[in-house]
Amino acid sequence: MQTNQQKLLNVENLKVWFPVRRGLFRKTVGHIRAVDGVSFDIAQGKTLGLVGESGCGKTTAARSIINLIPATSGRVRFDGRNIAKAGRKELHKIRREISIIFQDPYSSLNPRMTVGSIIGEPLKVHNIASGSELTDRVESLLKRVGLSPAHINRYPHEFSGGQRQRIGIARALCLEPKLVICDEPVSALDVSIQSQIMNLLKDLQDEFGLTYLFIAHDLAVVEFVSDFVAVMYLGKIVESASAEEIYKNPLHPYTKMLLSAIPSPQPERRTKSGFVAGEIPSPSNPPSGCPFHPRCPLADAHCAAQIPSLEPKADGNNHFVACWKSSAAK
Amino acid sequence: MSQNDILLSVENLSTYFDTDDGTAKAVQDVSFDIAHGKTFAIVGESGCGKSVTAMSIMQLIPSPPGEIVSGKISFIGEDLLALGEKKMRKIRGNKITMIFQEPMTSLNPVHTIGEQITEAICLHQKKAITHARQIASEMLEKVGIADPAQRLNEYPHQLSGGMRQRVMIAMAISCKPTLLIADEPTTALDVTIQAQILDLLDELQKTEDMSILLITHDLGVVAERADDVAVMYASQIVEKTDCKSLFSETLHPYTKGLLQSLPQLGTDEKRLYTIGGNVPEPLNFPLGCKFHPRCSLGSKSQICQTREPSLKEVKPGHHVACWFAEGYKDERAKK
Repeated sequence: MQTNQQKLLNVENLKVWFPVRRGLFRKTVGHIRAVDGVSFDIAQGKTLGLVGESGCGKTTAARSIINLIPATSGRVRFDGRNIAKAGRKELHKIRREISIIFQDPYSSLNPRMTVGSIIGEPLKVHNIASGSELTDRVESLLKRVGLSPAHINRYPHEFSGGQRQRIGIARALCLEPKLVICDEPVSALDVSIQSQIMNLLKDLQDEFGLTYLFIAHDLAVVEFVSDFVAVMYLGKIVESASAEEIYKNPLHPYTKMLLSAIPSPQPERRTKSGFVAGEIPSPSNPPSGCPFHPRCPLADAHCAAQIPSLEPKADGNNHFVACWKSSAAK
Repeated sequence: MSQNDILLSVENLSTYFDTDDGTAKAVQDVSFDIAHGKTFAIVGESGCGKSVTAMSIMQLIPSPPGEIVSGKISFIGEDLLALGEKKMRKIRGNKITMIFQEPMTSLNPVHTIGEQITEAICLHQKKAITHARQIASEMLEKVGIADPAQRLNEYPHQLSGGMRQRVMIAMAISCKPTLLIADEPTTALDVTIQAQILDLLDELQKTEDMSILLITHDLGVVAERADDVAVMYASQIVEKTDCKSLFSETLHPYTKGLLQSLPQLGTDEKRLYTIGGNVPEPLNFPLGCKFHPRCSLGSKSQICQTREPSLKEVKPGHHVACWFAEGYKDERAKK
């Protein structure tokens, strides 16, 4: 996708299939193709937004990048190293450079640990700091994410949702990672807190030169933080382009459907969303051909029979789409 | 709004909860009217009291620790708070029904969809079970579920989130209610499913001639679906008007802040506007205007820090509670 800049992360044809076992001998009778042939790159210092509805495989894809869920096949290269093939020691090193911010600030912090030990734990695990140096680093991190260093001995339940997410961000940043995977970091937060956290993430990116893989289901949020956006549907990327391009010139009918479904806070633009129909099918029993064809207003027999591949749009522009009906694929 | 158009009128409702740390004033002095066949939205962030308001109308507040300490809720001329539990049971789930945020947890997993829908029909309309099943299957068809007769025999886990919410709606409309309270009906759903559910509610509102009390945190949903809106902050209504004016002539700084902090599609923003600070806890509300510590006007002004503004009509139909709102100034001078 992006060739002119240095790639920090390169994912090629990533597949994560979960076996479905049935019967007395737990025989494998099929696979759930949670992620089915996903490829993307992220350039150093940039943000890739991965959008899709629940169950489309965006979180599974992100977790298999750092090998929290082992990939079935495919290649993940981070900073020139192949993560899927990395041994235990190598993986330990790589994980120092990639961190995650989770969706739910209530369940992703251990309620029995103080804020100081939550944020300081990675520093201890990697033998980077201890004693007063550790405390100093945790305190400066707390300050950086907008919390008071005096909070260091408090427990997570003493904080609000937004503050907890700040703790999660501080934990993710403490090892000075190169890549931060943000898995729906703002979807559990209130509107007024959402904007605070999004600004904080942007500021931290500028300050530390971070690269983000930003996962969300909200296109407006993704468009705000991302340079490049990939739309996932049923384990596959169906469209990818720059954030501006994908909003101004969406090509895939699914992207168009997502955009038209977002309620806009302008009553004068009130429209019926009649175009939006159907539900995401189960990945254990995906439809034939294009995965979107049962919901697509443009689908015909060809769409039901053949799977379209992700092809670049004719005029370049780094715009890719997987649709038989778009001009790119014809 | 003339007196005849009003279906439900809430006057000075206050609901408090006793806790170990003191009294939590979850809803304070809330008043609004819902017109026949219209959608009234209450919008606010978590903990602002919007759900407790809905629960108070349904009288589903667990007591103790909760208590409706004052107020009047009139529904077609009857004061619901004076009815008593026996009469209230005839209205709840019959004339006023409710759908909840979590379609996963609000259906009973050990009963079939059919059993759950027919229960209300048998109870309120005194129908025989076979007849009730027939009504239930008509309702499922109405909410867009294919093959309804088959679905009646299925359990909730066999349905997707969107389908479960459709079942909840079918259950809620099965007794032909005049008021449907929808408490964050689409928050747990994906955007494409959300759009379909909201379209369905719109359509049913017209065919079934019911009013909807829509509770949400999403100003986008409000803009697309509501007729009238109340914005709640820290247990109180801070602004109340019709939907168009709320967005075009916003008066309260909190509403303005909320609108500005939304990321807008297709704009090239570098930073989002933010409201500083956090929503205050009900046990620890600030003195004066509850929004003043987060407000650019209130943090500097003495009147905001010491005296609480009450909700006043400053333009026809437009109510606001802010010392600095346009049209509120005369009140400030009177102090």
